[in-house]
Order: sequence, then structure tokens, then C-alpha cells
Amino acid sequence: MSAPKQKKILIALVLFLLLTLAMISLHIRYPGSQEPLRQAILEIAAPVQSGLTATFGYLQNTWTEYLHLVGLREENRKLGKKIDELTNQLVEYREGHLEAQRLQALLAIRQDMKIASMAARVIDKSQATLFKTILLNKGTSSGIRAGLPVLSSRGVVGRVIETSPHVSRVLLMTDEKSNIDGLIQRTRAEGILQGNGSSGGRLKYVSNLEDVQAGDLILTSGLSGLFPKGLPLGSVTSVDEKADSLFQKIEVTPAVDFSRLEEVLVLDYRQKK
Amino acid sequence: MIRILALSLSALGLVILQTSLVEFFTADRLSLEFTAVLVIYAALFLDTWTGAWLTILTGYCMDALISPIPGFYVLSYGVVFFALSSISNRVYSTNMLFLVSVTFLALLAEGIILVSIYYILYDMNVLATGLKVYLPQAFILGGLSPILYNFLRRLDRNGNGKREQQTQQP
Repeated sequence: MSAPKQKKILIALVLFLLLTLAMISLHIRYPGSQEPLRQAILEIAAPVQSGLTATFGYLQNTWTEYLHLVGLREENRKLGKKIDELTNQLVEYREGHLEAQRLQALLAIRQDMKIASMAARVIDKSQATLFKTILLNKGTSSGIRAGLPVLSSRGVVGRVIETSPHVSRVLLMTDEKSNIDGLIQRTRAEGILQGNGSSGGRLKYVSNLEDVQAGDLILTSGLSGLFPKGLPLGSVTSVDEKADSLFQKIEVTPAVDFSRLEEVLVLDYRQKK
Repeated sequence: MIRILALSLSALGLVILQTSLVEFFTADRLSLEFTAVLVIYAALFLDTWTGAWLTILTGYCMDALISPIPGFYVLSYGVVFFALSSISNRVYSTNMLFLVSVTFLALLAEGIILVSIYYILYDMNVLATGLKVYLPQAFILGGLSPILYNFLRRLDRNGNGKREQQTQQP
């Protein structure tokens, strides 16, 4: 390699390492701090992502409906055009109906919980990467701030970890960085539910002496003050009582199906100091 | 200046398309980081400054849109870029098998770097998840890499051609 190029690479490398280390150190030292440039990118990207997600969601629904109706259309060629029109209408109505049902379920939770909350739409899901996060279409301008718990009609989704004026990022409970205090509803045994990085989690620190069975429901215990008590987290799928360990190995399936998440509720829940 | 702006917008556009469309088409089961292929291309075929700028931009956009921790992707892309950039003059090749192998190894290295940073910063072992995400990705993108590099080379050549035409005009 020529000397000037080697020098160029070295200078660039040093600059780059300084920049990166500064970014990571800043985040570790001030975890809740907001970077204006990062926020700006989120703000610019959010409407585009939201539009793309909505468009492709619509196309997917239409395509699914179309596939269902292919056989019928062949038998009724004369009615084909009419069916297409009706299908499109049906997709729209069904979408509206399903959305109303989901929002109704969220509203019911909102009324039951007596904690101020706001509904938000999921605009992007990053679940195939190392990080399990989603983006919501509301941010600090709607009162959302880092640390707030996020729910769907079925249970806990995760918590807000980053916000910009109109977008917020939620760390899903399946992320390996997520730790939520939980308890087993039947026995009241407490533990920490940690995400396993794929589609579930493990309930840790539950003693071997506790009686845990597959199918047991896991709820938030409310001990850490991050989540209100009694929200569904998931259910036990398998229990392994290791003879050489003090604790049981408990695999948990989340109550929420993250692949079908469209609307969520962000609770304005104040942490206990 | 125009080139830098164009590169910045292209990087952001690519990241948005990648996060929205790829995961949609793969039903959230597979992650395909075309941005990582862009970084490898930049290291092997672009000049150092343009490549470094593109790498940092792409990494930063990925960090902003995907990573909960700023700096993860900038660091992993940067290490891959500088490692490949420093060897690119010695082993310049357009041989298909070479490109596929380099891409495969570089994508695996990116995964290993991300898993290592996680381990160093948070004392958490996410190797199993990392393998699930990065091994299939390295195989698929490694296999597609000759086509992708060919496409990027054409884009780059078009861009250069237009710039040269503009500079030649009185």
C-alpha cells in the first residue's frame, strides 16, 4: 500500500474511533440524553417509513383477499369486475372494523387501569435484527418520554427508551436488554423476565423450591416501579428444574404477538422514586 | 459538496428502504443489511475519504433508525471498512469467488463485532441471537454480492460520468 494512502487511512481511523467512542460514552454516561441529529433522522424517516408500512400493509391485505377469491372468480367470470370492487371495499371495511376492535380493546384497558395513557400507532418494527425495537408515531409533543410502559390489548409490549418530538422508540420485552419484574399469578413467586432475543423470554431467579407449571400466567409485579402491577407478560411454556442450580429455567411466551402489533397504549405511569 | 449531500441522502434512503421493505418482504424473519454490502463495496472500490464518509453516514443512519445504542453500527461498519480498505490495494480482485468470500467473512465479522460490543458494554452474551441473525444474512448477501457490486459499480460509474460532463462544460 502506498504511504499517502496508509496515512489517509490512519487519520480517518483515528477520527472515526474518537467519534464513535464519544458517541457510545455519551450514551452510557447519560442514557436518557437526546441527540439532535439522531432525532432529526428519526423525524425525517418516520413519515416515509409510516407511508411505506401503510402502503405495503394495504397491498398485502389486498393480495391476500385476491388469493382467496381467485377460485371464485374463475367460476364467475361475469361477476369478476364486481367482485374486485367489492373486495377492495371489503378490505377497507374489514380494516376499519378490525382497527375499531383493537382500539376498543385498548380503550377498555385504558378505562380499567385508571392511569392516563395515549394510543399510538406502530410505524416500524425491527425484529429481525439483533435489537428488538419498534417505532411509534408519537413523541415528546404528545407527552411521551423515555421510561414509560407500553401495552397492547393483550399485555405488556415493552418500554419507551428514546423519544423525538413526533416519534418514539420502544424496547420490546423480547430484547435481551429488557428486564421486567414479574410474578407467577398462581403461586405469587417473583422473578425477572428477561427477553431471549427471539420471540420469548426467560423468567429468572425463581427458586427451585417454587411450584411452577407450564401454562402458568406471568404478570408484572410492580416492584421496580417501572410497570404497574398486574399487567399480563406471558405464560410459562417449559420449566427445567436443574439439579445443580438454585434457580429454575423457565421459558416464557409473551402474551403479545409482536408480529401483528399495530396500535399500542403508552401509559403515563410515574416511577416511584 | 453536491456529492456529499447526494451520498448522505442516498445513505438515509437506503436505510429507510432496508428497514421498511426488507423486513416486510421477509415477514420479520430475516434481516438483510444491504447497507453492510455498501460499506464493503466502499472499502474495496471507492477512494478512502468518500468511502469513510459513506460508511459513517450509513452507520449513523442505521444507529438512528434501528439501534437503541448510538454508535453500534458506526463502530462495526467502521471497523469492517478500515480493515478491508487497508487490504484492498494489496489484494485487488474482481474475481467472483473472492468477492463472495470477502463479503461473507466481512458480514460475519460485523455480527461478531456487534455481539462483542454488547458483551463489553453490558456484560451480556447475545452470541446465539447474533448467529441466528448474521449467519443466514452472510450466506444470502454473500451469494448476492457479485450482482450487488455490479449494480453499485454501474451507479458509481453513472455518477462519475455525469460529474465529469459537468466539469467539462465551460
